[in-house]
Amino acid sequence: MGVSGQSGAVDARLARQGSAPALATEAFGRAFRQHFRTLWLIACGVTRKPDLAEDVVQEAAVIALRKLAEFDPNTSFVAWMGQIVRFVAMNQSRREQRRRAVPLEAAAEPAAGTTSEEAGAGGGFDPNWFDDRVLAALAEIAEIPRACLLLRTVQGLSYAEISAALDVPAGTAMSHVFRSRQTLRRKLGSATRGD
Amino acid sequence: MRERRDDITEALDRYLDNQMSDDERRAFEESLTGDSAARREVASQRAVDESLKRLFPAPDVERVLERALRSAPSRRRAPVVFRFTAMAAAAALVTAIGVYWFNRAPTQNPVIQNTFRPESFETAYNREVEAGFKPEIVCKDDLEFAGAAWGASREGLLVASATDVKVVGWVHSTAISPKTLMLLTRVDGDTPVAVFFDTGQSAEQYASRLKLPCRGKLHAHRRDIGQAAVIEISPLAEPRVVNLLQPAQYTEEELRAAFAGW
Repeated sequence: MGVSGQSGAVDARLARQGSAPALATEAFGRAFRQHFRTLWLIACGVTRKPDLAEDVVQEAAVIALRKLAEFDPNTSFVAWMGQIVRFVAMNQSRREQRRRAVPLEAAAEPAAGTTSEEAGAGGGFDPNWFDDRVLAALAEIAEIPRACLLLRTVQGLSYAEISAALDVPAGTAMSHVFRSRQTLRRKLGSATRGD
Repeated sequence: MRERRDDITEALDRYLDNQMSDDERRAFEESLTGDSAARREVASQRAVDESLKRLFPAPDVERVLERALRSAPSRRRAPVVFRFTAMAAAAALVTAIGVYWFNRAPTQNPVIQNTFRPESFETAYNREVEAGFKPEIVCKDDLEFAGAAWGASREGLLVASATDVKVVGWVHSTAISPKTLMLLTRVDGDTPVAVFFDTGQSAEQYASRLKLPCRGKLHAHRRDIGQAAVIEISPLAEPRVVNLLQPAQYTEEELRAAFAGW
């Protein structure tokens, strides 16, 4: 499962770490690997920052390992872990928002409504420029709808799976995804058409 | 008219979300041929979806899990007396070995190699900006400055004079390795520009763990000078300080002595 060749060492560490029996920590490792991308995207949804999201999931894993004895194996791992990730991500996000008072970030972050003339002298479609606009436009969407959108679009989860991971009804998740897409299309319409 | 637009939007959402049956899909695709606005919406959403996939590639799960495990508490707890004895022995051993290890370069130290986790350049930059870009050390002359640069990067470097660049001073950082130094400068009057000094060896050693800023927010520019790896972080699209760096005309003994004063 591991892509970096570290998984053997990590498994060995899992076997001797945590506050619960070794079997539980090993099972944690398996479940964590299985749902990692979902958890990371939840964190991305809340924070909008992939780098920060990685730190969030790591911190959430530390908390989960401490509380492993409290986890009921008959319940959904991703729902339990997703809740911890949301909690940590929202805390991190609040901290980041306080920092955003520094004019630097506001100046550096591109505005969603920037005209396509600013895309560069070449005039062609520049994926980096467009991605910056998408990132900025994502700020217009609330945290949980944004997480629903990422889980659906990037991860391709079903609405039932999104519902389990984010603890929202499947119909609400679907509504969040549709509305988020409409918001992005509205914000980015001229950028995608190159008007 | 508005009702029809809502119907189209609803159908479009279901189409883009792969919620249609094959028949519905075919019928909808036929209807698109006569509706240029809907075709634009489809193209627009596909461009956005592709962008989201580019923007959010998942990091390495093993790296995250490994770091989490290092921070998590150990499960097996020995009896108190044994723990005390073991702790005393461990402390003595750590003290003895630590004296030796402390003086080794971080890149040679296996403990630091395995446990050190660089903070992101973005985090380091934002923290210093938030703190008012105040230096821990301000050099009194060129030799002291070059000595600091040598201590971090093994190259005695100076910043050539430029009217639009003001050197503020140095702070310690852990953005590349535990021995990174961060030079604080201000460009064009007030724009904070941070320049991280370390060795190229450290930069390669921790390359997989280095986190460059998110695109569009801060910009990173790297310059390698001899053994040094110098990375400039700022909101400016072009490098303003790294290109001003030049080797100082001091001997290694002079630089070593200047850095020893830190």
